[in-house]
Amino acid sequence: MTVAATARDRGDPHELPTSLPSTDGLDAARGVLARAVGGLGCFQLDACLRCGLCNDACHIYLAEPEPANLPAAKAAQVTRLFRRYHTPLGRWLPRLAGAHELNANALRELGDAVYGRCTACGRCALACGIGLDLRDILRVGRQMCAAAGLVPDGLERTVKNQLETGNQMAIAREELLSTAAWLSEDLQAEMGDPAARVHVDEKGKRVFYLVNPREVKFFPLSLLAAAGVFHAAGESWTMSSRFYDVTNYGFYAGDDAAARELTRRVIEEAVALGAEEIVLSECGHGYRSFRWEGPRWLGRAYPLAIRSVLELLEEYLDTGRIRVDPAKNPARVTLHDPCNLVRLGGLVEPQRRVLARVTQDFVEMTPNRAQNFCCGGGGGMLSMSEYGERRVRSGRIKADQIRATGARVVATPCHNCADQLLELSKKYGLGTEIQAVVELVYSALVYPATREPPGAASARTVARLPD
Amino acid sequence: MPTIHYVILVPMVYVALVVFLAGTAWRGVRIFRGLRASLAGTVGPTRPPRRIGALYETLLLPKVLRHHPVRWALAATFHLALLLLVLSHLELVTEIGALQVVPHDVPLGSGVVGAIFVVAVLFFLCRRFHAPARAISAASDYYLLIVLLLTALFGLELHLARSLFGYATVEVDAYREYLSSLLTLRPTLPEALTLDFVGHPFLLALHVFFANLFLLLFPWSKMMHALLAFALTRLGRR
Repeated sequence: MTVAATARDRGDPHELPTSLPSTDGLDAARGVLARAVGGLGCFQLDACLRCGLCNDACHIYLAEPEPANLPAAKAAQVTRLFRRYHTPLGRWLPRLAGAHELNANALRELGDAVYGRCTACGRCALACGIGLDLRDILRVGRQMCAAAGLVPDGLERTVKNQLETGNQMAIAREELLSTAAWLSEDLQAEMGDPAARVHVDEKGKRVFYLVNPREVKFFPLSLLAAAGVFHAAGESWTMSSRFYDVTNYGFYAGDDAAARELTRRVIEEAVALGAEEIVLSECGHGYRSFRWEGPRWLGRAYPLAIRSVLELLEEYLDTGRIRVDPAKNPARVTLHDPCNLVRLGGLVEPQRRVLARVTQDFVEMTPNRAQNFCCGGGGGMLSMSEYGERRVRSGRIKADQIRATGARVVATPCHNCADQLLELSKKYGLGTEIQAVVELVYSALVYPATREPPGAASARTVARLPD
Repeated sequence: MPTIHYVILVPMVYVALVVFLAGTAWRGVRIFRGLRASLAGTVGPTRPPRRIGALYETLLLPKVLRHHPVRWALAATFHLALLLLVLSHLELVTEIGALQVVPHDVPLGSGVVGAIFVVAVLFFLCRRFHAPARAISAASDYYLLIVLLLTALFGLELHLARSLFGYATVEVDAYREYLSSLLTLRPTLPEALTLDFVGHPFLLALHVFFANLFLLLFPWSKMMHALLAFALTRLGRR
């Protein structure tokens, strides 16, 4: 059954991308495929044995067990095109080889598979008997769609925003400065210390802090929490008012040129401000792209160190730069592992060690760490409204995981995941609050001049959410 | 001797072997060139396993054992039976002395191995007709298994017909002579293998024909997963 047929059967005609690629677009997609054959050594593109061992690894298939959601079926949207042009059997006997012409419809179905049915979470790779990482194949699919001009509107707009304004939400510089100003006032009031503030565009600071623009627009208390912890630790830090975005939607879109440009700007800004270290706010794909992909995109190592704020928080606790009282976080807390941070980023334990010290009742989900399920909001899904319903449906697996823990608070070191988890909490009636790890650290902070620990932060965070 | 019988038992065997060896070598070189290029561009937190580690994962499939023990047992049975069947054919070539050390029946397992192999292939084939495997199966998934099944079935019948039903017009020595002659590039067909072109000789021709077909398809199919698995495991999950 084809993907198109599946969508029609479910009375859901809008799930396939509606735009068609031009002839130039088709040629560009063919070019990407040809380059991928060289880049991936061609062997990966047709290596899938279609054995189905990965079926149960995919949260999208588990939530909606329809053929088009099988990991191998999604990869087949790329491999059938590869076979048609790059294998002897596919050239001579395409039907026998399961090869398919690269035409407009094939690209539309490819777009639906790689953007709408896969969050590139990489869990299928854990189950593959021959060690194939389907993300590599599906990423080629995204690159082909990007070259053909078939990136879903929301995702494309987000990339454009980032390139044009320096941040994915197109927040004006004045708005950032204004937010930083009132957050500083709030912080001073909460900590009882007039020196506490959100530092912006200050030269010669040790740490250059990158945040998710959602923190500025919708979750300012997350930024406030980070500023509070930095202040309590006596950290020398600053943000930039121009390039402060930890996200990289070029990475999601499969647009390497955009991803490279976004990385370059941030690194150059950090160097221009004289920072010694870039610290990444809690963001799954931001960590993956800055920590691992960035040097490859730029073709050189960074001139300064880079790490996640989670590692910095652990260092503060280890060295006694901050003091915490776990009794200030009495509710049961569980942890959601963002795929790009944990499974694909390798940052597994610091957040656990931090949470164990700042909360009274920390419980793990099952499964967890590298085996954890994607929340459904990865891969740029949150920016693609056309797949919104599918995204929430696919989150049922995560909702079941959370419910089984009995937790009242879900900590997640990723603002994309936080958005999805908030929606899941409402949709599946979980009744959970979603918090960043730094918010929990801030809540537990024992600061000499603190009047009242900002324990109500989570409630306010939820209250400020846009509908 | 009908020409077709001769073509299947001699020239087609050579063509199949040449295509198999050359094709596998060509694919192998491409795979390992690709692996080298991919290793150079590897990014991510996971250090790819070294050669020994990759070999261990390729041969013993520990990830499959951990997540799907039943599937692992079936795959192991299938591959082990295939290995024994290949060995049992090689031991028919008397020149390969290493396999003649311990006295034993020919072939290894007295037909049991072949029967187990047929059952395993049947399982994998039947799986392809059921959801969800059916939805992700391509034409090649079916015809490769069917070719393998037919090869094994006719091979099994050669043995069972001789041992169970007294269908003993062909002795092992005839096979030894045939295979040795192929190996020394002086092909001869013993009379017992061509007698009347019915019964045992006919089944032999069918067995060899499908085996040839399998060898011809091997390098261009997913049967190359033995090499692919090693290369992919070397890359590691990134």
